[in-house]
Amino acid sequence: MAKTITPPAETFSERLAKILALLVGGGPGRLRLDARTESGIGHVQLDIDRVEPGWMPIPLLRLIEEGNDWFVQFQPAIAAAGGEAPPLRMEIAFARFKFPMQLKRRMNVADADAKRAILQRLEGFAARPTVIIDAVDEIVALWKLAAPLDFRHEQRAQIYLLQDNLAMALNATTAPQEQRKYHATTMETNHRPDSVAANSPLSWLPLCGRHRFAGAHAARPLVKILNLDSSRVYTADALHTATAGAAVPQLDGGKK
Amino acid sequence: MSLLGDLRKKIAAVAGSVSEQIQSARLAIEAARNERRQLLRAPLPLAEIDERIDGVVEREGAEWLQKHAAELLRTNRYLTRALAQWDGRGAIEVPGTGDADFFGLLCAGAPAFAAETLRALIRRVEFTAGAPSSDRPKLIAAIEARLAALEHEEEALVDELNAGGLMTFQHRPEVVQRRSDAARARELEEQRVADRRARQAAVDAQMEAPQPGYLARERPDKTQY
Repeated sequence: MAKTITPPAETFSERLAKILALLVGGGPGRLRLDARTESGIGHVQLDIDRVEPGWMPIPLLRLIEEGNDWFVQFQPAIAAAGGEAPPLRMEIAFARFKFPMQLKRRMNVADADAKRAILQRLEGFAARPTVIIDAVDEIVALWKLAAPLDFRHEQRAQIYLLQDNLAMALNATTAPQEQRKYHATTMETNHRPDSVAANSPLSWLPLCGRHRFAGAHAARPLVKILNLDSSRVYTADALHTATAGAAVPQLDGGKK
Repeated sequence: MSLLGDLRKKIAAVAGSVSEQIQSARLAIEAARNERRQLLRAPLPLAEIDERIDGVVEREGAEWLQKHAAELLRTNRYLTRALAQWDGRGAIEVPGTGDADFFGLLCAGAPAFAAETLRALIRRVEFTAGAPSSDRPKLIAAIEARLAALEHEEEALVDELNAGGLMTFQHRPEVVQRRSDAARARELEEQRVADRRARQAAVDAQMEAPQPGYLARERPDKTQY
């Protein structure tokens, strides 16, 4: 009888490196990371020419090591390397789902039912996400785009349309219109990566984190990568089609 | 003669012959290096030098003017004081007439004369011209390819003899240095990779450790997507 060989499970670092490779995509880029630690908030820009498979970039590794309690987020807009005003591009489409928190034993914890409902909703979606990230109070689904969308041109409208369609089809959280306007104005006048406003539809998405919470002796991971399949790549058109075919879910967050 | 004595004599003969071979390989390497050096240093053919002269004169003249033209007009001691001022007083004095600058002065003031002087001078110097500059890259590449093959062959020969164990020969100093540098670089790289792996493993262990408390049960860890 043939033995079934189970491949070793991917480590946290390997999965992180895969996500970074997806985010950076085809070319060298500058990815912005935002790290929150006990000592405050810091922004780090990772200049990434090539993500080595299985390896976290050293600045990210250092960031994780140095924080006792920390939470690292990323901006999905990648600034191309070089030049004073490097163009922004987006290698992934995403949907974020905020879910209610419940007070249990004097602590805020995620509503497990709501979370499960969101995951089921994603499972039923025609275009299955490339990555699903499970954070403290939200789930983020990422769809790798076959060709990156460029913020400088008419594709910016396509980015917002795609994000809106995904949000609507999956009942995900979307940004208020006025925030988006502010973001668009900022982008018009200032093409720096900093110009991606913190409250824009492209605000920070969770990447990894750890917290030494009260009453426990060990640190608790704040973010989990639930699903990661780098082979799932979509054209913007395919995602539009998938959103068009999706039944609009109830607006109760999937709660029974 | 005893058997041992005979054997020693034979070994010495072989060792001598092998040493001679290595020596001859090293001489061939040195000869190729000399050839390359000579090719790089050899003067250009006269026709090519002639072609360059006008350009050199123009450049030197322009440099001289850039450096000294302002002085000519500004100071009251120099050339234009006597020639260009209405009262024409003072003796003519040329700024920057050191050896190097004097040639610049000629190039700026009388370029045709300067070029002609250079052409005449170069013909009064005896020299053996090398290959034209257009042919040199190809010739240098050919010598370097031959040199690389000779170096590789000599290095392999020494390696082979040392591996046999009967005799030990020193590699050329540059081979010893290169191998030592490569070994050090490899060691540092291995150390760097090991250090990075250990640091990453520590982070992985923290992130993949079972979660304590009831919170873990609340999280949909087992959800199969």
